[in-house]
Amino acid sequence: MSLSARVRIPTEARAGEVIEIRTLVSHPMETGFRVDSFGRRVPRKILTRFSCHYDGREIVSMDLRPGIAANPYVAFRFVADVSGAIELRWEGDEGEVLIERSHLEVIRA
Amino acid sequence: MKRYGHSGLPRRAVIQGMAASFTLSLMPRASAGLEAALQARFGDRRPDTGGVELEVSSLVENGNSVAVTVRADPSQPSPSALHLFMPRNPEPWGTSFHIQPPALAEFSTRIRLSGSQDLMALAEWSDGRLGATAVSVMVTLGACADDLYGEF
Repeated sequence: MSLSARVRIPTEARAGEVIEIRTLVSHPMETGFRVDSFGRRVPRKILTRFSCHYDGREIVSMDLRPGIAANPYVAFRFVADVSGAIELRWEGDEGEVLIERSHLEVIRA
Repeated sequence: MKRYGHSGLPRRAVIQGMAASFTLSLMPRASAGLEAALQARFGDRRPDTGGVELEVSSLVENGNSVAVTVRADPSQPSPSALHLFMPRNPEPWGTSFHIQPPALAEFSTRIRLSGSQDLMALAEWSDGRLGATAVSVMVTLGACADDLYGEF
């Protein structure tokens, strides 16, 4: 299964402005607690970690557990202080990695 | 006095059971699962009340996807992490959100709830201090109901 993400990342901000990043990844987040119709436990398959690098700094990281709903949605906010690259990264428990890159241009008034 | 056999309910046991459930309902909101999850992450540290806000609707129809927002009290210094626990889920530890400036101490996500319970949001400061808040959520259909009814 290929991972895909829908993200909303502003590309421009005024210096000091608070901006929001919203993300949604297609993923079943199989908990490992479910049982199929033959009584067998469905093995766990989840995304375990989400992180955001902004201008080379990891500003946010998040441990995802089975209690996170399928197609995990994460939104967070930060203060735009410098122009720089934004890299969003998801890691799964089978070693899969999904990366979304963007650039934020900070306008000095 | 009437005596009951093994298959019946001895009066004393019933009364003791009622007393036990009454005592449980008066206990602070710390189930065994939550206690173990807190112990695993924070050792013997336990949270004070406050310092964090938890936004979630108090009545949800479907436990498969419940929107939550966890936000640190803006009047206090920013914590280094926010945590969310769902005490009655099969795994009570929901998520941990680690913050470095210039990120704000706030996140939104969607969680699974196996049934009605008191969610707990927790802020962790770099000096080791913990602050917590609990919010009660009624769930009409829990996330785990799919296992029981999904095959029909």
